[in-house]
Amino acid sequence: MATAEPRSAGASFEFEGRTIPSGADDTIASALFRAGVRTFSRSFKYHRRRSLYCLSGDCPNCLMTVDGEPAVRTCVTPAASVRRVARGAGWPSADRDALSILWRLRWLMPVGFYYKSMIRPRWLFPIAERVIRRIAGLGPVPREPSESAKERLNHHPDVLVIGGGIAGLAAALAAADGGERVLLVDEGAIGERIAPGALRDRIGVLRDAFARHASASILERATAFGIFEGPLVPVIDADFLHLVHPARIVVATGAVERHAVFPGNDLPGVWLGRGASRLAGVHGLSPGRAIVVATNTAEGLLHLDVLHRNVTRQGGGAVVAAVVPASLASGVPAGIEVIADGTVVEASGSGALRSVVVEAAGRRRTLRCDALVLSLGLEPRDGLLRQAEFEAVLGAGDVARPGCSAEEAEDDGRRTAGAAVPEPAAASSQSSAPQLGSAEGFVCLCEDVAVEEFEHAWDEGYRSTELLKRYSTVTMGACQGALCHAHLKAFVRQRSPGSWTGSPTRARPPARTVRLEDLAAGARVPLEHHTSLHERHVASGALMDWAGTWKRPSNYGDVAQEYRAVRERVSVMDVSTLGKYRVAGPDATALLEHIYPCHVGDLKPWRSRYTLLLNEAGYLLDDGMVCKLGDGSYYVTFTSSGGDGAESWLRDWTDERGLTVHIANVTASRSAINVAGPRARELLSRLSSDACDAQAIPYGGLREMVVAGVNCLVIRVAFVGELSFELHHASRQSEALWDSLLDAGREFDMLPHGLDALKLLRLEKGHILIGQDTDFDTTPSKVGLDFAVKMSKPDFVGRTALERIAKLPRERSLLPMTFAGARAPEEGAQLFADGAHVGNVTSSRWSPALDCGVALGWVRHPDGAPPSRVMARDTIGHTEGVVTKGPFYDPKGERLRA
Amino acid sequence: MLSIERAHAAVVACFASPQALDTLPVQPGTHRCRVAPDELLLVAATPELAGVTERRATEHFAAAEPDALVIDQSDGWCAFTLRGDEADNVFAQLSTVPLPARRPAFLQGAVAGGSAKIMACDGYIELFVPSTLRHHVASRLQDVCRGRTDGAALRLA
Amino acid sequence: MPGLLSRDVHLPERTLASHYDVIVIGGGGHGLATAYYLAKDHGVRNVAVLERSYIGSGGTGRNTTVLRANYKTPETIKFYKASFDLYRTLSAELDYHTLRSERGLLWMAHSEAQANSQRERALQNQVYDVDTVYLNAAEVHEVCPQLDMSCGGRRPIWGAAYHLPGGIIRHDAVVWGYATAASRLGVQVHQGVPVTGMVMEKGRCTGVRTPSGVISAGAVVSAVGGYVTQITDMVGLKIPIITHPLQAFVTQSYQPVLDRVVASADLHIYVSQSARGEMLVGAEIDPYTSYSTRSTFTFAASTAARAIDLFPFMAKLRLLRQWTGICDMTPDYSPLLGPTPIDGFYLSTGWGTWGFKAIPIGGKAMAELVATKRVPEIIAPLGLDRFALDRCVSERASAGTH
Repeated sequence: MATAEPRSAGASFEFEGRTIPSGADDTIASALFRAGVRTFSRSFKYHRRRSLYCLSGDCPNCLMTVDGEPAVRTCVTPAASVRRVARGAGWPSADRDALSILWRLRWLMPVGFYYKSMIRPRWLFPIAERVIRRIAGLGPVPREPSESAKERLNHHPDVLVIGGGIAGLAAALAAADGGERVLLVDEGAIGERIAPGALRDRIGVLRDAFARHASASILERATAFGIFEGPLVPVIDADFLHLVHPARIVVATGAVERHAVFPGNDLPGVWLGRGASRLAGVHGLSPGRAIVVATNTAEGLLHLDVLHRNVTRQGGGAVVAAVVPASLASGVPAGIEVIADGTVVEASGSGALRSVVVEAAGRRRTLRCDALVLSLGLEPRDGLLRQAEFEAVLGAGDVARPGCSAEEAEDDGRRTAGAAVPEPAAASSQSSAPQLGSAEGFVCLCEDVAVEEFEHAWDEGYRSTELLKRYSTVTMGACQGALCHAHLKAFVRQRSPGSWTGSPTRARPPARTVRLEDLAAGARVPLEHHTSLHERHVASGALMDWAGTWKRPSNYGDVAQEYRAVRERVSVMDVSTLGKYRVAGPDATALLEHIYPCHVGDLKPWRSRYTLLLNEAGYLLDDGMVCKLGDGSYYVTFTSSGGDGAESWLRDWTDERGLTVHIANVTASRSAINVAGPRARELLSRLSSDACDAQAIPYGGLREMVVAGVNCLVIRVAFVGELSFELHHASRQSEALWDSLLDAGREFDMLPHGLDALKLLRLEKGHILIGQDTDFDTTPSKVGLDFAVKMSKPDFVGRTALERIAKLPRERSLLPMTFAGARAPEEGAQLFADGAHVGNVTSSRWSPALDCGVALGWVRHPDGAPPSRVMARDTIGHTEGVVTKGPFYDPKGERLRA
Repeated sequence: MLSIERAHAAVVACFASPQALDTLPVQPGTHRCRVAPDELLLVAATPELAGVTERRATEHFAAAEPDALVIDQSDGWCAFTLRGDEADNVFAQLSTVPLPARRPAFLQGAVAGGSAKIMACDGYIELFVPSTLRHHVASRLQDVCRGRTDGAALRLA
Repeated sequence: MPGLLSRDVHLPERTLASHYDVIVIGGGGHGLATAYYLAKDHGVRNVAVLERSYIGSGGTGRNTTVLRANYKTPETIKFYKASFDLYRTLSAELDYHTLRSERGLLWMAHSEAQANSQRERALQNQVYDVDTVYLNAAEVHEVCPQLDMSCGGRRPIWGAAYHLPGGIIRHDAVVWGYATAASRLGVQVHQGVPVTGMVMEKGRCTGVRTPSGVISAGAVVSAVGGYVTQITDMVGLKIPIITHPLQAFVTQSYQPVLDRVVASADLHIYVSQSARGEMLVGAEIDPYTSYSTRSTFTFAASTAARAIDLFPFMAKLRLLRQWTGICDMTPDYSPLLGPTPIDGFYLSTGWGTWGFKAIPIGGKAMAELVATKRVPEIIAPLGLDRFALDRCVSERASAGTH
């Protein structure tokens, strides 16, 4: 059938064991067609043969697996640099597909049949589902992993024009002439789909004029797939994920020829006019030996002309008949039979088109043919346009006025440069809404939905576009409604004129399918924060792990040793991840008094206090410390994970109460090293001539010291239960300070400790970890932190709630418990008391100091006092525990108050 | 052409009333970057100059507005300088912030996912990212520069 | 077979009357289920469901179709388990196939903290006879070989809570099934009828206002999702609900390879593959409050990145469609069901991101409440009064995404 050689020889690709040659202008589909391939895919439900139809990337018929990637639109993908192509569905092959028998069984599969069947017996559906899953899908998932290195590129033009047809080029040129910076994108190469002729020449002229502007850019083979709030229009091409942030947008994405509905309308050999025209005019191939053209527009006559000239010239066939309105009959070239005022009512053939039935003047005629070319009007390709809600977006050309002439389209494009407000689209030169033919005939090619199914669904009561869509799955396939949405609307509107039920279905992104890896370009690498000592930890072989968005050392190789260093001698830990703020200004005290439940105003300079952060419901958000500095300002800290939220909290309350407070986030500029252990003081005195005895820095105090030549704010802290000094210093000196500490620490057999040791150390003191031991609704009294709340204060955030809650019986508490058996329970173990399920373990470790398991757990006790004994059940077994009071280790806190 | 340098920042942050900030005398060798009505960043050319600037600013506010807060925030930031005619393009790969034609300009926004301060100057762009993201941003710059054939040089201090 | 070939009317069109015993506002899963059980369990048939758009247009038609019972408090485990058990026999009950498919649901842990959390989930589920076990990394790999256990080299998987009965279902079928079955019993389902106001007499709710006039009722149930505060404003009731968007996307269909439903709290994502072969992906709520159902690029990009981390094979799969719903979020991420201080006005709300799986039990319990005027025990802990009584049912760790 197809005989012409590729225009220029060159590449080839493998297709299911065959070698297919391709020329420079070939798409994969055109190369395959030239090589005689006629079955391009099998339809989704009935596995019917499908062949080329639109040649514009709008229908699902040409989807194939290309180089391992499924569902590639071969009709718009260049053949050059492609290696392997295969068809997706079909068993054993797409040519001989056993599942095509499903078409004969279609009476067993009416619309929504799966909702009406396989309900009983209950074992039937799981089996059926396994079978369905085996045959489902447009193609196999790729086997080879992909390593796309694509990144993002942001653009900020004044105007983005989407679509490089005549309207788009005119709009772009007009904007550029007006001095605007313009970005024009087209999903193909500009002009490539248009057969050589006047229109293609005009496009070339406009393009050259546009490209001469310095402020003009063009991206080709670049697909804009959404208009998001911003406006933000993402565009994918081979090099980048472009994120375009234009001030205004012109959408000139054109139109798709109307998909006609009649029996046999999906047979191989049925073409849309533009598709056949492109095949002949651009690729030099003939759709068939005996071609019937049916059209009712001037554009259709142009396609007829292209076909007539090209196929006759190549000797590959002829246009044998033209079905046109009488008014267009004079435009049909001589030698072609004219069937005036006729309608195609049926196409038939077994696996491929053999004949069509045309009805004219009440009579039916059968025409033998192997290609039927339909150009029966245009549906705007407006999925992208309809995504916009309140952005400055204008449509131009066929997308706004389907069927307008090339001159009108060019005018339309030019006008967008001056338009301040989007005009409503003028009445199109289009004829009325599409008519749905008989019960057979596919409305939706992607999902194999016939008209009959619409009628059936309507009878059953699914009477709005949305319900009909979901019930029949029309428009939910790969074409995104390009071919079938108009029919859906028409069907509902005919039956319920003027009703809300006929509204168009929502246009959702993407307007074209997008690879997930392209979407993810530039978004794969998560934010990773490092402290100033990160390199030191890595160099010493620490096991680093995520703590929120930070990387922190879990341990340096031996958790037990690190623990002992803290308890018995001295150890250092990098605690730079703490949220740290300087708070100053005339209302600093007022702000802190308001957000903290403890007293702040009575803090003397160089004194600190442990603080809680509560929300208005009285629930714990975070904890930390407040320190009063010598100049009257404050230095406040929060936990590592609470840090960012804390800044918002501070600033929001400042604004809310109209205060004047200066808040500086010094989390990054100040680092902190905790020196902890009974010999901590000795270590510090090796590195500093400033006093750090209990007199100079009492418990609850802080002072400025020079340690190893580094200026430090030294704060006494209590978290691990030993004498501890937190050295807050300028981050640039962290490494020097750390090195000096480790060096001087050799005398004390010092090791650094990480988070693993920390978790055990703090647990032995019964100190909670926010988020691990607390829930969203934890009040201070439930976790034994009443001491940090002063209800005598007239007001603080959460006070009203706590007052109300204080009057209610307490029904849940976080309790310390010990387990004397062979092991501590797993974290997450469930707790039972007197046989009843009462709670769960949130923190648990074996305590070397106490030689037993220590844990914190939530216990429900709605009937009064909590139980004194509990049983913990975990994945290993169960352990018996005793509820205790207070810190397990050094209950009087003598060690940390040294 | 493109070169990227990473260096320590030299930044002094001043927090005071808008009027007090408006009337802070010009500090030689520094750029004024007004982050908010009550927050001003003074970007110095060298770390030594940052120290001098901090002292001068402190002295000024001690008299003009004792409640003001002046902090050397140099250690909180890491400076990346993108130089060359490709600098704008590289920036555009890591940030949605539009670079104005008029230079110099001070901007704030996300770069490589982290909050940044941006000084767009003639021929170069200076980015200040939180110092805790120094590796992350350097790594992302290397990612987007990978495969460039125009001799992009990455110098990381 | 007869059912297959018949053309029975599933959704009959009715004329609005001027009075009903019960009016249910909201034609989503909860509204329709409530109406169904009123008729079925209690013989209360003079019921109208008023839906302002098409049935299932809210959350029920937008969720990611996951069914599970693996929650974390005794109250909610019992609640969701009861719902799950009702779902098991729902198709037969409604004579409408809901296409339920048990797949096994994995809830991954990428850190020690998450491993503890998932272990706790498994242990707690077992206490209440819900089938969930904790798997270590090797076991996770065996159960779901398509996973990249290193998650893109960034967040290695430590283990997972594996909820064997967890699976998926066709969400629209649940809506249509309840609507069809309720209609069969005499309930009237009205679409395209918005409620524009409430009728109050002496502090009692006695009916609703619609564009076609006032309809009186013995009782009014609000089963509205994200817009619930607009309804409660009409009766002057303040409830602790804020509304956040929740987004999802689906790919084209490919030959099914993924059997499990996979969720990750650390990555804020969950993934499943339908019988048709489409990959269905969701994440956590958007971090701002809004009634907008417009999808965002940020969601698509960041969610796609995390999906590829979990499943490298998804890199070249193609995004087909994005959509967004709105979620009525409670402070403790548990639903809000029961009577209100306003006589005659009942609430079935606070369904957040956890409403779909609770449709059968929510409907059944609300029907019992309205018909008998007694609060069923299974929903007693989920009433409006729990916040003031400091009895939150905290499910923030479990309900986060779906």
